[in-house]
Amino acid sequence: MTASTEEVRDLEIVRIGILTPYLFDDVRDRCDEEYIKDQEERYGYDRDNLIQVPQMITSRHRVLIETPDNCAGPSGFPQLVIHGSTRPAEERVESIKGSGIVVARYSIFYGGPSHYSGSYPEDAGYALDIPKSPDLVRSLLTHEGFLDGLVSREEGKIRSALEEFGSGLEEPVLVTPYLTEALAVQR
Amino acid sequence: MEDECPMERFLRAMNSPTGFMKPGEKFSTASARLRAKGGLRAFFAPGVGFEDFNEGVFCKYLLVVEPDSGLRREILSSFEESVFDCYGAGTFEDAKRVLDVDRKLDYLVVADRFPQSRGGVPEALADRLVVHAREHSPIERPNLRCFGFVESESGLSVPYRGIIRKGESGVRDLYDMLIADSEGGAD
Repeated sequence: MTASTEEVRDLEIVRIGILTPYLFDDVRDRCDEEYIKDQEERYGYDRDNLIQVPQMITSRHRVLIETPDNCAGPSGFPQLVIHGSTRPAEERVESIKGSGIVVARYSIFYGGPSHYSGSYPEDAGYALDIPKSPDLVRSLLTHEGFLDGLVSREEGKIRSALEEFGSGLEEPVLVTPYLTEALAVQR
Repeated sequence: MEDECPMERFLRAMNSPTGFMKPGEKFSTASARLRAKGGLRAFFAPGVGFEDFNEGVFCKYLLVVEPDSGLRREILSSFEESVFDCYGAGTFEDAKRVLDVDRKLDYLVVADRFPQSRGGVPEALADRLVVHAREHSPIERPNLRCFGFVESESGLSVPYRGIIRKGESGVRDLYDMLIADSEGGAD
């Protein structure tokens, strides 16, 4: 969607932190084809990820995609962080439990516990569980209802938006019991 | 570094391209981790035996089935610098999933009691899981080495390579036994 500079200025900003390289990294410049194929088959790497996407514009929101390579947004924390579930990643998420940051898990362990730790996502501090698909993430981050919910931090809005978003999907975005706890913290 | 505030660590990860793993490092096997330490230090990691050294084996897969998540985490952490690449599960079904999906296992440590599925009551399922792992799962290593990590041995009847009692030094005893067994070579 294109919009004039003035129109963009009037949009509500939503900051999304992407902390999983599966969504923003391109390994083609440093890894051979066999390695990439292994990553694709076993760990869900998708070459067509969000690497070229610094922001998305919807009719009501300007979605800033922040990654470690591109984190020049306003100070403060993103409304949503999408994080992987490697061992150190999970530990990092767990270390900020209680901070109120809404973290979504993006992992091949979608729908179940981590095979590394045996922990379920809510135990580690993930509030949402996203299937490993860049296309789904792109769609989710342009869903107006979901973005409204993130900005307002209203659980009901987030849940009903995700229900609407997920209708018809084989693997919808899952809400974990931790979402309630995360949103209870005033930010 | 150990005293660093978790939020500071999280912010560093948000702002640093080298703050965390790239795709491929996720399964940062013990092998890769040890090699990253540099040179011959990889060969002297706990659990690497003489035969391993000769055959270039610096990674052995260990699944820990323990329903207490804190204890499970303690056990998994204790093996972090060793030859073992660790996985965890808290229930019979979760353990089966790890076996069926990951398909690699050299060592299995089972508590004497754990639930069939999440939210269930603990049952004496250790033997049943060992039999499943040896006879019905698609794991690729037939000479699976099984150890019990137990409150009581009374429910165990299939052969175990070792039994360790839970208790004050249980985690340490388990670590010592597995490292010694691993360094001792093949049967």
